[in-house]
Amino acid sequence: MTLLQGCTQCLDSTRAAPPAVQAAYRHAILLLASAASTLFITGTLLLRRQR
Amino acid sequence: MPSTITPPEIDRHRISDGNNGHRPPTDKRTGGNGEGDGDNWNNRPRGHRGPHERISQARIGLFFALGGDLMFFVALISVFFVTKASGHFDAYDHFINQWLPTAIPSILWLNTIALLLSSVTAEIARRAMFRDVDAMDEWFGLGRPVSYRAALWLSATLALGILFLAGQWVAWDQLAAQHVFFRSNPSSHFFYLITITHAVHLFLGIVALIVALAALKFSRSLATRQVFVDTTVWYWHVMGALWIFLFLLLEFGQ
Repeated sequence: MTLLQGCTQCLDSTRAAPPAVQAAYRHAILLLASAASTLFITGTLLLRRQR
Repeated sequence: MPSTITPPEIDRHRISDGNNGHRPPTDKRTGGNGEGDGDNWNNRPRGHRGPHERISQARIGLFFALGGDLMFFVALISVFFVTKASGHFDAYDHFINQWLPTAIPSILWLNTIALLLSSVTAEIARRAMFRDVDAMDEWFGLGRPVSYRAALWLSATLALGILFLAGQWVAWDQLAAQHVFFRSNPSSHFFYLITITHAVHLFLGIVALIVALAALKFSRSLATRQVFVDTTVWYWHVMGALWIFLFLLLEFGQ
């Protein structure tokens, strides 16, 4: 329940933000996700090559 | 008096195979394990496969350590973009953005050149550690040509690294003289946060360089010396590449 409230609050807060801030959030999410994915894929490939 | 050679015991008791001649008592093929591939270190148990395995393990360890570090910097950059776009609504429902771009001191360009040069000298040191002929001489104990050359280039890297940190200090000093401090503005806050965090990492790199220089001087194993220099230089390269990205962000991303 708390989690749901947190999600709703976060969603409301983001919806109330100006479009520029929303775009910045989207960029930040993309940046974080792409960096994490790159690290994960590179790490997996390295470990597979090591075996 | 002609010199006579007494055949060794093993040749005087050769085993007959029932055919013409005799089999040699020992397997004369290279490798000596009967399979002919005794020199293939990949067949040895994990952890006993020689210097190449040690370097690979060290590089993988460094990769994962730097992966965590890289995520920290990516999170910092993400917050930078969000803070830059954020603001608040005033009493008249106007959106107020407090972000005032910080003028980057021009000495950062010189610092960047010093760091790029330090990466070049570090790479020369790293490659010197793996030059076949010299490394083989050193492996056999014929002096330390490889370690000596690498130590010279690593010392140059160390000097350039210290120069970079001194340059960063001057940049912070110049901003402070203009009354731009950590809490002056969201933009200056991020400038200090990013440059100080990177400087701390570069300081760790300088410590690693000193440790690698000590290893070059005191370690008795060539493989150990290679591991120290290789991992230190890769760390240094990553910090250099990271700085280029952060510098471009601060210079053009505000």
